[in-house]
Amino acid sequence: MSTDFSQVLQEHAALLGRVAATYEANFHLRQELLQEITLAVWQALEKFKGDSSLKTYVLRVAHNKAITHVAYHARQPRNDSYCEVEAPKPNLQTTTDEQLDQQQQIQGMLKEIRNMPIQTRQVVTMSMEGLSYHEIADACGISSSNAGVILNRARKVLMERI
Amino acid sequence: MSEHQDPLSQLWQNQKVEQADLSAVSKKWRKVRLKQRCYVALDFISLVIPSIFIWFKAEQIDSFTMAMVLCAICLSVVMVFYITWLRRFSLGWSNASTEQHIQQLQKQIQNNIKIANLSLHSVWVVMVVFIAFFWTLYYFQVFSPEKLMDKILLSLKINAVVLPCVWIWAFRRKKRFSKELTELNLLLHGTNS
Repeated sequence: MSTDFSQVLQEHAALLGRVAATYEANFHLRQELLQEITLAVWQALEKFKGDSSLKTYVLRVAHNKAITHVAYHARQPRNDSYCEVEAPKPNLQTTTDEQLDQQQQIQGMLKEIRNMPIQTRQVVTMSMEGLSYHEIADACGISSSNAGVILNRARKVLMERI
Repeated sequence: MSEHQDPLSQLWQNQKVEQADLSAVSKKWRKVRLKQRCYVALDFISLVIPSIFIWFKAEQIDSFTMAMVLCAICLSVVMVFYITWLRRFSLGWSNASTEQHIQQLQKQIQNNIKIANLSLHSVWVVMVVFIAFFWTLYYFQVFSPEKLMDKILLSLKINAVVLPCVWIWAFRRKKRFSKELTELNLLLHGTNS
């Protein structure tokens, strides 16, 4: 792996982890998806021409790979009941009530996002990653106004349900 | 966009996520590349070895059998190209917009269902070809009746093992791809009302 690509992947590691979490609730499948996304981004980096920001490009490739992955794993359940690998549990001794509340809110938000249509999921998560309407529209292949409408509706739903 | 003031974005950024093991990714890439090279080698070998065999055995094969074998090889080459064309979207990654990617993915899964259907129907096509082949051998009296019967029995034994396996494999693949397509369509619409 070239040092440049390796550095880019390390810089975007948390972002890729969040993309994986958007599509997979199951810890085992999420780990597998994260590896697949990372590999896809690494392969795609060679073709990056700078037409968009690197972050937008990475997110676009990552979401595309995640969609392929979830369609391919159609036979397997999406929840945590099927899990050969134990998900790491939060350390309750050092976790404050506030942190626990936040973790619950995050889990609630992820659950809501995973139930959204793919396009809405992509728009709302890209927005929370800091992409502009224009960048989101470019990555999703929709108009900026459409991205805005989808985002506002999705945010309203999320705010109401969390 | 002022995501730093936005509570949703703050919550989103605060989630604890796993990170990919880069050395494992690198190892996986090497495996994928090796697998791709093996597939190319297999395609090459599956065309070259029968051709070499026919080249050296040409004098021992009667003209009718030779014509049938050549037809089968030509048909196989056409099928390989057709199947490759149907699989043209199955790239390892895509930097197209998600809208385009989803359309390609749907098309690819539909093509995979087509390939599975082709494999399913190839089972009875092979049987029809075998019947036609042996009937012609019998009609033109290419072999003695005993020798022909031996050849028919051998072919029947091979087909009795191979064809049901092909049928079961193709049926399972068709079922799997149909489920993938349904799942993808469900994902596109979401489960939220």
